[in-house]
Amino acid sequence: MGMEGYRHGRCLELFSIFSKISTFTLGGGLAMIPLIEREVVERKGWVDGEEFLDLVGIAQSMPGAMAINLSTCVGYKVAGVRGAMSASLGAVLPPFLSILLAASFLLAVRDSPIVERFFEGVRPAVVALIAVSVLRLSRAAGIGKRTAAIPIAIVLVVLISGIHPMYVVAIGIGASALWAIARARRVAI
Amino acid sequence: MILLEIALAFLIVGLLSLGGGYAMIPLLQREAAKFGILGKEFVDIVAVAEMTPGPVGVNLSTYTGYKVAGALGAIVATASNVAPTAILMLIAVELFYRFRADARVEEFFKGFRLVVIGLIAVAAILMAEAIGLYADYKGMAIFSAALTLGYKYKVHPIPLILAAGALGLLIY
Repeated sequence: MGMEGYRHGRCLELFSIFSKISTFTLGGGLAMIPLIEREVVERKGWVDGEEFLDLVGIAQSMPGAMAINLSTCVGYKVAGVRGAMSASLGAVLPPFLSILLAASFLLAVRDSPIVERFFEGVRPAVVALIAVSVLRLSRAAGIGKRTAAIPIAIVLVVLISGIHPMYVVAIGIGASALWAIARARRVAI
Repeated sequence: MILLEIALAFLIVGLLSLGGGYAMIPLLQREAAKFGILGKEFVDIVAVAEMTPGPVGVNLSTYTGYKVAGALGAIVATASNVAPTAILMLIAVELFYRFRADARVEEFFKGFRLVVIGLIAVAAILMAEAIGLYADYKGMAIFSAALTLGYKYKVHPIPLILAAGALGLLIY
């Protein structure tokens, strides 16, 4: 088998592995990591364990959904650009189709009083889930009295001024980059 | 034309949602509002996105695109959310592989995580306002129970949402 046929086969495998994993992981990104590791590191031996951890690190430090980022870079490591496309397409397709189904269903039944009562109960829980992620992230970041000032200031500024979050993100990226460079320099000296 | 607007909106969301998980929500909240998905409806589709497979942010993009411009809109929204980031990923894997353990990357995220926390908190507050949570004592009870179960007991979002929905059928 030539290099071409070999790559082609791997692309198909990547597509099927990532579409399977993404069909069966509810709850997004982090839940997918152990499943991807089992397939790619343990079963296939395409990537070694340490390299996989590095890829997770890169996937987490880039914008976008972590699960799809991870699929893209594992696919790339295994079979180049076409591998990246196969793996990420595999990861995107099942949720895409299930959301299309759910959306057409939801838009059709939205006006039913039973559905409305169901969602009446669901909504506070959704807000709670978002609040849970704020608490978890704060704990993971080891937020103390001094560092808490930054998120609190952001909450106040955004709520009062109504500024689009994308500007806050842009300023945040710039400020964090400057901070990181300054810190690194101080450590070096 | 509307497809172009969708593409642009979700391109911004995809490229700026740094920090994982719910980091996409504050941006999506704003962009979805441009297409008329506001208040309660936004909260509802977050619930649907939680219960279907796949990353919440990508699911929300798909839903918004579908609602605004049908299946084609869904394709455009999803692709413009995912593709540019995927290209960035490839560049990152090629370029930065050597610098993966760079202390500066870690320091960067120490700072940037604080920004993400603030923005997600804003999203939660706006959602609470949109559903009139403060004036609804039943809602506050569900909120507090879900917060405790989710944070302290790490209950998975799906059973939490289903239980809250069942409770909604009983008490509303």
